[in-house]
Amino acid sequence: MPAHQLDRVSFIVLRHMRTPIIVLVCVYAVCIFGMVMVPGLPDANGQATYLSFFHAYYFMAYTATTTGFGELPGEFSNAQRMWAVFCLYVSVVTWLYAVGKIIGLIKNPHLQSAISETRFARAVAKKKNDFYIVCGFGDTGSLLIRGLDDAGLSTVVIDADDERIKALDLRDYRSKVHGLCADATEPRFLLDAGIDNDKCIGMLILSNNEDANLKVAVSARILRPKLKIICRSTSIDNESEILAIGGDIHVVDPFRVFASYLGMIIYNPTIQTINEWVSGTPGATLDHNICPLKGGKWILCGHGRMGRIVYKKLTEKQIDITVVEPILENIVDIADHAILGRANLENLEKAGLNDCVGIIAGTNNDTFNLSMIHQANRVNSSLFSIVRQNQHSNEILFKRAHVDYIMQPSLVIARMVLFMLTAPLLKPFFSYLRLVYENDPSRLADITNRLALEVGGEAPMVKTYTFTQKKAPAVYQKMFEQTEVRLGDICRDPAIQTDFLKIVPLVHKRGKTIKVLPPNDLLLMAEDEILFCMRPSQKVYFEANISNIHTLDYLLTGVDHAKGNFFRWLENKQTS
Amino acid sequence: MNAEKVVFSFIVVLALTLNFGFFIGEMEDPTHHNIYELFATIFVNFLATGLKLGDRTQVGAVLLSTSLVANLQLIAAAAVWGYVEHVSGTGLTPENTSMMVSLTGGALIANVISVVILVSETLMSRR
Repeated sequence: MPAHQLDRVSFIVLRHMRTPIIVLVCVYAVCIFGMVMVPGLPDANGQATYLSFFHAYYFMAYTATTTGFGELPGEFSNAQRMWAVFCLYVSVVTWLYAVGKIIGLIKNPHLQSAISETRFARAVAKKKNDFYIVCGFGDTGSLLIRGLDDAGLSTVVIDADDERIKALDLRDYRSKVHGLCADATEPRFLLDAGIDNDKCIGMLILSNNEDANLKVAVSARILRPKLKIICRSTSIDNESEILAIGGDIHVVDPFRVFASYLGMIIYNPTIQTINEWVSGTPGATLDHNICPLKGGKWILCGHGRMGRIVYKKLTEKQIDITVVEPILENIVDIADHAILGRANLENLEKAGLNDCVGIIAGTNNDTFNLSMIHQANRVNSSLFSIVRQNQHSNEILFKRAHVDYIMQPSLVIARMVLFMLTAPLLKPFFSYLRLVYENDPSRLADITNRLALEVGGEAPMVKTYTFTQKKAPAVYQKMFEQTEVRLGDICRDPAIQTDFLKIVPLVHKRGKTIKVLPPNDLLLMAEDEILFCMRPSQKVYFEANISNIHTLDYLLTGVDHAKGNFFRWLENKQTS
Repeated sequence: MNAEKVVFSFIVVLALTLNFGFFIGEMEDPTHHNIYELFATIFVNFLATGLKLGDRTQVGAVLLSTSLVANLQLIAAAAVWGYVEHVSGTGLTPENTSMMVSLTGGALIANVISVVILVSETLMSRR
């Protein structure tokens, strides 16, 4: 952390305290000196007595602070009393002035921001584990931080909104998430957030401000040329500029991601079902598809920035779709598939509400979306309704409304970024699924059945394991001893060797070679990376399998060997 | 010429001269050391400290620290005086006087350093 930031706070304090301190010193000096000079009551010889400096200071000390012990050490003369009256008023007013200055200083917003910045920078500099910097703590940011926190990854946050940073303090994260209220486009704050720090492993830029995102991405790249950057962007121009920065950079476009998810729900429901299940959406299981219908007409309400991409995606997949949109300019290019006007009952019926299979309420206004679904449901109750939820805070309303599927762009983005960070191997898995679906749909059903049978339930756990000495010591040792360890062996149940845990290896990566759904007889090698999907309860058993040599021994041979020296000796004796 | 510089140098130099005036004289003889002069020294030194607050430069930091040293020594001297007069009641015996005066001697060195820095900085700026 640069030194000039550390003493910024003390500098501000000293600068502001200079005048009150000088005034206090002067007032005390004048009063004490006067007190010493003014003659007191005469002593036995008729000579006037004088207060010593010490007594004068003592008198001032309790008078100026309005304590008022009285006339100490002895009775005052009238001359002394007159001076004391003067001293009292002057010094008390001076104290009030000084105290007022101090309070004013504490309340000064600049000082407060300097203090919080210093505190934040210190806390970040002290961080012991790897962390990501998140710029923008909106709906997406907050969902993402929750996900990263659950996965045991640490984050620090920069957001321009003070209220959001205050809200951050009240969240019940497992590890404390430090936040700073600042404009991330100022590079100084990126340094505060520890972008220079070796422990910083990535930068997630998620604010709604396109230009700010671009600027933050550029400054981050300059400050740390090798850092992983994930940036949100909804404009094509910005996106190409961001990608031009180079290095390990990814752009997520919420509209495009949303549109492709939507396309997948309608066109490719099985994959979307697996996706939802892997993501741990409440209630998502592999038993039934989310959207049970495929063919038929759809109505799309809203053809703005997002609607346009959705329309394009769905038309590409040969889905018959009619748009309802109130603004003429937005539908000029698709006039024969569009109805002009607000999405009220009349216009929806014009768009073919009675014979369509589904409706997508995709405007950027939650109220409109909810009300149009409500109206449409009354006319055609067999309708499959998909609604876009813009504000996370409206969740309760959406849950109560009779909607078949709610899509939150912020959630979609958060989930996508989360998987990019915690399980990068999921991407080849889903690409593979798409490929399978196009070539051999029945095989996709097999995969779904396998996942349902061998893992099943709701909300599975997805985790990548690397077979290194540190992460999987038992497997590593067996490899070292030239013992063959197969993928199937480490998935066995440590209680009964012939059974298997509720776990499925999804993707296997060796060097640059990626194999989706590796077979059980795959021979493991050091540095292999495997993405597993399992019941969360099985994690502890699985981790014991790969790190406890005795457990692994049993899994490989089916025999529980003796562990202590004596019993090993006995065992050897018996066999020989 | 600017008023701030005049006031600042005036106070810093005055702190030194008063301190010297108090210090000079027979170490053990209380009649050579005037209590009003000590009072004035303490006051002016405090004032100098106040004026030095809030300077962010390296030189400013050293100036401030010399002032703090002088203050510490002078307060110690005043405390010795107050203690022998009002608490122990021994009064200004030669031992007490020399102790008190030697403490102000320390403060004098600090004030000398302060003035030397002030002068050399002024010469460095060549304006």
